[in-house]
Amino acid sequence: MNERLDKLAACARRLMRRSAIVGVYLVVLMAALYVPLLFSYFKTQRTLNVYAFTETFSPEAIELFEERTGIKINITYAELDEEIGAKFAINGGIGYDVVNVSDFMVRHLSKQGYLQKLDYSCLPNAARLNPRLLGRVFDPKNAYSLPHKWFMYGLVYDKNVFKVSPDQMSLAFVFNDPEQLYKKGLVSRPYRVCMIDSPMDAYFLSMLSLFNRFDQFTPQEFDAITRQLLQQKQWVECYTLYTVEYFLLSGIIPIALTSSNFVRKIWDMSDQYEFAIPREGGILVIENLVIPKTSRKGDLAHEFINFMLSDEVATLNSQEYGWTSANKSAQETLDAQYKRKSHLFPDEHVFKRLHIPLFTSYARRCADDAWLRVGFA
Amino acid sequence: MVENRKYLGQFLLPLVVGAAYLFLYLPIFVLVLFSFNDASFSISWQGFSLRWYEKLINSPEILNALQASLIVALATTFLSLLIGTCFVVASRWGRTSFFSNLFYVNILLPEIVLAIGILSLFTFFRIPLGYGSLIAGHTLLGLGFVIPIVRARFVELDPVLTEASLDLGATYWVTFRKVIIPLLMPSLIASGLLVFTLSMDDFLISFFCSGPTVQTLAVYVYSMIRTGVDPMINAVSTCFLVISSLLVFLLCSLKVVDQVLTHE
Amino acid sequence: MKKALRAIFTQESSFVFSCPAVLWQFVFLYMPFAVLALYSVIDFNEVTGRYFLTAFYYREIFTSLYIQIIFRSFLLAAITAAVCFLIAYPVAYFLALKGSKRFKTFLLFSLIFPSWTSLIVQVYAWFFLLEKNGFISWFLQWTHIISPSFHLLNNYFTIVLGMVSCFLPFMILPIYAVLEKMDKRFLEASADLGADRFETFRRVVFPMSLPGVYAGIMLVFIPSFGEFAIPTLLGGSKYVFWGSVIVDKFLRSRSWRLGAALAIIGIMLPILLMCCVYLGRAIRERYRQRQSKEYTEYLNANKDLWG
Repeated sequence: MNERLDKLAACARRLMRRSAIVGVYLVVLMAALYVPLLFSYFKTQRTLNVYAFTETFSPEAIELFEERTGIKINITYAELDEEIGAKFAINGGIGYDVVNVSDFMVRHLSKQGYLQKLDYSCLPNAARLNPRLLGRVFDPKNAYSLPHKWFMYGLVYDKNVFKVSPDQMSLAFVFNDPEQLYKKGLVSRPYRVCMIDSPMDAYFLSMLSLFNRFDQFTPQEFDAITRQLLQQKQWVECYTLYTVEYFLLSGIIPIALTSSNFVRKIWDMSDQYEFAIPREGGILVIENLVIPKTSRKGDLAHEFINFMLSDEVATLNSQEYGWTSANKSAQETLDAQYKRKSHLFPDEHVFKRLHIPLFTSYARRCADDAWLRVGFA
Repeated sequence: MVENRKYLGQFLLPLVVGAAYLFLYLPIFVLVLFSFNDASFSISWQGFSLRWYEKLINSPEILNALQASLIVALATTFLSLLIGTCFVVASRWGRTSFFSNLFYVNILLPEIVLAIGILSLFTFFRIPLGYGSLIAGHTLLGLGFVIPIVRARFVELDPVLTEASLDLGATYWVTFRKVIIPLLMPSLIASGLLVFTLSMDDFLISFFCSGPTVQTLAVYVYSMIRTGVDPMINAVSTCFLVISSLLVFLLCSLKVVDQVLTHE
Repeated sequence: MKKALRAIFTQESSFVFSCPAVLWQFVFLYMPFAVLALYSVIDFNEVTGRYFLTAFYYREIFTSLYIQIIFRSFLLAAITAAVCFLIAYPVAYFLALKGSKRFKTFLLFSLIFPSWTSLIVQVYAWFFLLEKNGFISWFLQWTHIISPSFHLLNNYFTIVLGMVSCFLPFMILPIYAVLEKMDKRFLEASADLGADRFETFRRVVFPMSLPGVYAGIMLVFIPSFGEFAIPTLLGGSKYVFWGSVIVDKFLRSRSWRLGAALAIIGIMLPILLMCCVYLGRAIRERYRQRQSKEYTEYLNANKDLWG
């Protein structure tokens, strides 16, 4: 009996010792993992964490900013707005001071209360922006965001295959069976297309081509759109946004539904392609700069935004990567380099064809699920 | 008849092996070749040039990414070797040799599950993502390599040597330092190099678990590929290859490989 | 105080040193699974502001497309493993049994070397090679096998090609290790007993290499089940597999709970597979033991007959 008790006592002692050891290790581990949190509170050095899409801020511009203001910049790159949205949902955007997001995400974030209001007294360069990009539906008073860059989703096509003027260009070339079109004599040969890979935009454009409407869709319309996208897959070469210029220039496909960001690069390499906003309509995407509420460096963030919106820096950035800036003079400088009329430099009449899709989150979820079906087919 | 078949058989096997080599090396060869191509769009060969390497060296983002990768890889290697060796040596003397089997799971499970698991964990406990999360994830993978390799070598060590050393009056610590470590050295170096390469190349865990301040080279290359076919990717890839081949050369030249494989 | 610490240290020294590894495993592998499992069954009711248990996400997976996607990924992984096996076995056989000693390690390492580069680099290399103006297209056009408008990317075949090239070394290594360690005298004995090369292979070499084959299949099947970079980059996002769905759920559509449920189900598959394999081997081992026991009993019973 005593023996048993002794054994039990020995066991208990051993357990206590081992728990103590485990405890010590756990404390060390926790300390090591939570240390960066302390760092970010006590950092007195002037730094700014920027979360942006790739090819937005050129290294030269960043260097210029660092030289002029002495603030160090840390950039992290994201590819999708949803990625940024996911990170905000996790921790409210802690760790970032300036974020570069698209229009619908601005609305989502501002509705959730993640964004700081902008102080326009610190932003004199806001006056240099193109007025037709301001006051849009996702942020009517531009209280939380300012546009930085914009582009359109439209058709990039080979002029030799599609002998149609840009104004007449239609989504039917992408959504209808090319074999049928070839038989009817509308095109010179059967072909395949490149399609965008974002469900929401694909749904929107499909809705435009089917129903010529651009607000929320009904369930029957939803089914019809899904059917069209499923059918379209037969002649889709690839669902991509970024590798489009490769597929176009190597002649694999003569037409792509894609963003206008790549058009200047394509023009630099070949004269045979044209960009058009389809007559049913296209999508306007405005990328904005916002400041998360959790950022404690609001003044530095405002300085950064003001810097990036200035004439010289906007010109620098857009020249580097070939996209269209929201700054009026930067846009004009870039456009003047390409002495041609094109939908890439839309006048009022063409600009009216562009819409900003704003789906409810329920609609977006439906689109995501249905996109899975398209991908699986 | 039999001779004919024998002759054919003799021919067939080396052919298959040759085809396998071709299969594995052709893409890499073409990749490296075209990193010296002068064309800005990789359609055709337009002359030898080093301009993509110049662009590489002048790009601060790549250098930052490289620095981040190196820091994470070195920390991972150090941690996995330390923790792994301690475990292997200690488990012999205790009775926890069963636990070694646990570590095979690290490399057997799909890495994507590990990656999202660690992401969820860090999110759940509000731990900031960054170097810590990356090193934690990579060390997890590293342990799955270090422990089996070192253990394989350790169990083959003659226990007489350790006993002799202890009999001659050395403490455990001295025995460890002067007897066990030198005997284990080949497998330590092999697994160390393996873990270093693994961490440098790792993409999935880095993709999910990096935070606002860290971006490793593999993730940067992925975002470059997503952005388009740019010959600079060829240059970056060639650098990757050169680093790996240096490591392989290091391994071979240390004669470690022979020892590990033939278990001398 | 110091004395007490010392006492604890010497008494539990093996625990102190073996603890970090197990702790690491527990904190960074098992706890995440627990968190994932938690995410997949607990939902947040925004109206009442409380958490509740639900099997909604699992039901969602089982009643719809997801099961088909998982099955498809399973198929792809199986095809990859099969093709890898067909290529890897002859190569490993050649290296282990026929290669000259000096070059063996060099050849082996030169086979593994391509896989030491990043997966991303390998995948991009294949993209580059297979593109319309790449080397292979040029070669095939030059020999008039295909017409100029044909190209090789964005289909299932390319995905399998990419997978095989990335995972082949993982199949070669285990088979090589087992064949290398095999006692060569078995081969001599088999030849002495009158078997020709095929017979020897079928009845001696192959069964002895089976542990290596199993290990290789495990090392190839499971990672290729979870692969998402290769189908995305080489398949043009036209094919949806389990890995890409999970990435999509976690990074794009923000439905973490569904993603967690999918991940849990996906983990179960390899675990079940491994359990089946272990069970199969255990059963076979038992059967073999019983057979040999019966045989020895038979021998003992008839000892007088055998002398």
